[in-house]
Amino acid sequence: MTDHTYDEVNHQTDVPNIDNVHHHAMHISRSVDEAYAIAQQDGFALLDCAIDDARLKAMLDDDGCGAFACFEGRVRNHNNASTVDRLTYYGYEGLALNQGRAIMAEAKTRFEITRAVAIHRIGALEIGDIAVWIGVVSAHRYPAFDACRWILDTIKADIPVWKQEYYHDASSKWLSNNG
Amino acid sequence: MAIVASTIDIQILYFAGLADEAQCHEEKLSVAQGTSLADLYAQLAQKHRFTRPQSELRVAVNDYFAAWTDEVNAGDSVVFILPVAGG
Repeated sequence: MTDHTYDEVNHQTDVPNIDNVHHHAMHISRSVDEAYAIAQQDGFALLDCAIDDARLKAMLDDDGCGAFACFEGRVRNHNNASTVDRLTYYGYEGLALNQGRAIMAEAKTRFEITRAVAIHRIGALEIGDIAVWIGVVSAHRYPAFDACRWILDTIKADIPVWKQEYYHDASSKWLSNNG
Repeated sequence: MAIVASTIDIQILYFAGLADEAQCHEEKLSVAQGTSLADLYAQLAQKHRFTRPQSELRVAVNDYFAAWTDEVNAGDSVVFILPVAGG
């Protein structure tokens, strides 16, 4: 762990004893390079620092592909009527990697795509930060668009990542996509 | 006194709202052999006063999704999965 990540934890700690129970879920158990290697090999990884989209895009270089579709999920400054200051994502890394590998393998069987890669970030994020990045390359455009959307929807439904939003009035709330 | 039922040692990890309610992220437990994951959640829901019914959760064992009817085995790492919120 770097000093920087501890700064982030302290910065977003309103109730220290409660926050400790989530600390383990704000960080990955491997290095950044290892996370990108897993993304390249299995198609999916968790990361606990800013996503380097150029590095992911480089994994998708393929002269046989005429189409590249990409989705970036970014932290927005509002949720319904509430003003969002920042949010924190927490991940269960072991299950996320196993489930992510299965999702990306299934995407290849469902769509005529050449390659796909996705990364979900965990930890404390600021407004505008990329929370999830998905890139798909294929010979033609429609499979790339369709697979990109399906991968995002499936990540949102099945990857064990949780989100806590912090609001302008210092309150916070757990969110969910499906419950 | 003879021990009637043999017990096994397992580990539970908590995430998100369940970690808040359990006030910990990890717990080691001895449970009766033959305990199902549904039984385990019922026991822990009582102990920690979890507010979510089992029907709203999924369960994972050793980093893979599992079925509620599965029995726990010695050394298992069990995680109850609240509705997720990625993306």
